[in-house]
Amino acid sequence: MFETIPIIKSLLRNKTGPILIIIQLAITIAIVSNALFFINQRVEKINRPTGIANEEIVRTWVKANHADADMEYIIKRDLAHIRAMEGVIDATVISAVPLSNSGSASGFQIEPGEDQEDIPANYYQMDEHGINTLGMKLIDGRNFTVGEVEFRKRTDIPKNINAIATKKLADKLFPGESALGKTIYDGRLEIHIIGIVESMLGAWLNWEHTGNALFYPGETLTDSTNYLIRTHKDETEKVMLSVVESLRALDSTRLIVDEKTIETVLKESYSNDYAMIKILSVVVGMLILVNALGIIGLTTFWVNQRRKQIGVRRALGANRLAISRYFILENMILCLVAAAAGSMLAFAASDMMVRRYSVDLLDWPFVPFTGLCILLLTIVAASVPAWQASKISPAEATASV
Amino acid sequence: MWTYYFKLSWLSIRKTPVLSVLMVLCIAVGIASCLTTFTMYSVISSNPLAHKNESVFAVQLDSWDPDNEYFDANGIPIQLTYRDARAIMESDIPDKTVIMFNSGISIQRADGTGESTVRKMRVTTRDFFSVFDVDFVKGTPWDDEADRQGENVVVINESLQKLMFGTDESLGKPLSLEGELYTVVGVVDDDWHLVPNVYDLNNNPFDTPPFLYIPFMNVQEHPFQNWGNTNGWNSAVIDSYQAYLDSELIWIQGWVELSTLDTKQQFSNFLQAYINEQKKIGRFQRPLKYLLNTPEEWLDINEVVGSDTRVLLVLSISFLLVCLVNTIVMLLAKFLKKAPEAGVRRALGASRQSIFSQHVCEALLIGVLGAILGLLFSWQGLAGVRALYQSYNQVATLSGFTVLAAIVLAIVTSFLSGAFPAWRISHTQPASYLKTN
Repeated sequence: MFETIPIIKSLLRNKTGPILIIIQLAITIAIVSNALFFINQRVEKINRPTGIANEEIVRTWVKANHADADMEYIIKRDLAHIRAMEGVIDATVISAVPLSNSGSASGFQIEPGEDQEDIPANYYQMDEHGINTLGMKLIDGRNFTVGEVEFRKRTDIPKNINAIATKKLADKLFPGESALGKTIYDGRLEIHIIGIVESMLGAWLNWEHTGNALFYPGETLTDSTNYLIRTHKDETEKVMLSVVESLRALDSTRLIVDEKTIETVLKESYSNDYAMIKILSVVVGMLILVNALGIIGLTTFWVNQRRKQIGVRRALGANRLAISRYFILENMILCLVAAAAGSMLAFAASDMMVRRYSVDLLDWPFVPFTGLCILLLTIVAASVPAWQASKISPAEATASV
Repeated sequence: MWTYYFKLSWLSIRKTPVLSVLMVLCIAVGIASCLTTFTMYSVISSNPLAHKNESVFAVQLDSWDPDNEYFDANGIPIQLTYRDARAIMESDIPDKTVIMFNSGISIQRADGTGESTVRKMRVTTRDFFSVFDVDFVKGTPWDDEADRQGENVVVINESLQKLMFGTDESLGKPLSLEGELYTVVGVVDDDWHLVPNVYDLNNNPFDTPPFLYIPFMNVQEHPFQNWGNTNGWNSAVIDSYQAYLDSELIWIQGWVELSTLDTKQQFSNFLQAYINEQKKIGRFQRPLKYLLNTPEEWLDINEVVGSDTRVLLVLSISFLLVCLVNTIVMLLAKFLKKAPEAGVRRALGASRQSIFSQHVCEALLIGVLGAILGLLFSWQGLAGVRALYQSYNQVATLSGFTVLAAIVLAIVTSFLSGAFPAWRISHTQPASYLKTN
């Protein structure tokens, strides 16, 4: 573009303003590209498929009022009752609530004995309605039979048990082959894999082994337990309340507290990530505002400084478009220089944060994307003062006051 | 002279209302974001036991798997086994010993009326109350005898007292905990809260304190639920409660008070001798390692300040920087526009110094206005943080220190942003602005 060289020359002659704007834009580009990257990471994390029908499940917790209660009878009675209720698709007993940041894990080996490499996995105990209640997809093998579901005392440790694994765990344990029919070990417990489900995030959403999950048939009897109930997406609150009511009606001496939809559990577990997204978005928004105002201010100032010069150009035949174009081009050049400096700053900052705070390194597409957005911003912000500049009449060229 | 300068500054600010408002807003927003994250950061990284940093220690013993180091923190287990906890309790070297864990229990009125409810409970030795400065509104902790025997006594907090007894006359009265009767011996102030709760960082470090406390030795008879973490490394079969107590599972927190260097040395020797003894019977197969951590070190090991908080802090400081540069730009624009006026003053005899002072004064005035607005924004910002992070209710509040910090920050920022433009304008040639061409 023909005006570029004169623009650059005039910028170089009066360096202070341009340098300040470049610094400001560069820092902004560095901050915004990192912020957008973090936001994207969190959004991706929150949108991970959970593997279960989290919008359709609710949870209740019940605790018997005395230590000698016959929990096996109570659980079977409660579940039969719940499953017969209107609106309930299915229900199961379960040892811990998925996606709640609370649960049990252990290391599983493919050969028995000490000194073996073990794969960590989250494990649950549930009954034969578990898979259907959770809405998991069985991709190989079979579900538990009623006969396999055992209710054990805490001191009853089985030596042998069947289990269903998630595909991720199965592939980790037996890469390249089918895990079906194979045996794995947890200490002295022998586990036979009889089924594989597609996926399940598990209990801990920030865990490095998320997705490794194992399901056992049965439940260890203590004085309290969790029930999961599956219903239709828009009936969860209603069904939850009616389940709690009928459980109380069955036995009002016991404690029934903490009922929640799994959707609520999930949101609570992700609450830090939601918060981060909100805060970062506010920061990005404010930065854009501050920069827009700064550019409008500076451009207006320059226009005022050069009234005479603009007047002269108009007198010499420049049309109004040419005048506006000059100022917009000037801002674009500054923005491009800022983009170059800002990219380096963005990666330098990201590198520092990787080393000190163990976050991930900035993904490079975010930098040009941010640069482009800031460029558009400068053009829009400069356009109003630039248009005002074009209205300066040629008479200013010869005015002496 | 300064009153004159302030008068000039005020007039000048009023002459360009839009620009002045923008500058004040800019500084306010920058300060607000910095204050908000800095307040959060300073509370999250604070050490509520700083005054006892030299005398109170968290005990770590490396009783872990000979083939693998502990998977978290500093590579050594952060909790103790029951056997090791009891051994520490037996030693008379420490001035005070705290052995405890986090639990929960169902509570009901002793006469069986009313609904039962479940609340967070701490099962601990009596030294907990003195080591962690727990405030009592009534009564005292249980005595030594009750502590040793694991008697059925309980210390409750004001909220629980209100819930269960309705009045504040609970001392000496019984309460039903999971069907068994315990006698109330003391009532804890609801306001007692260590932020973060450095004594037990297994769960949420900013969670509310327990509602009740019972003597640790009750654990011999009763298996209470563990509301913290239980971890293990070996595959021993645990088929009874006694087996659970004898196992290598770690689930107990241990703190000791060692008020002199001598005591500390003696206790270290004791731990060393104990580990060597245990090695002979096949335990502690890893290389001998134990640590006595100060509260400060303990907070660090447990990584209370997450990377999220630190990233936000970096973000805020950079944001303030952008606001600073923006303000410089705007001040520069404004001052240079008023250059003719400065030219006239110089021609009339003003020194460069006084032109500089005059303009810096204007920048400072804007800064102070920005600080006031910034504090208002911070107040809102911290309310926003409390809404977003449920667990930070204790953390995100304005304090006197914050207000002071805001004003200092504003003054420094506005001075820095005003210095350069003021210098520029004080160095212009007056003559060039007096000409009309």
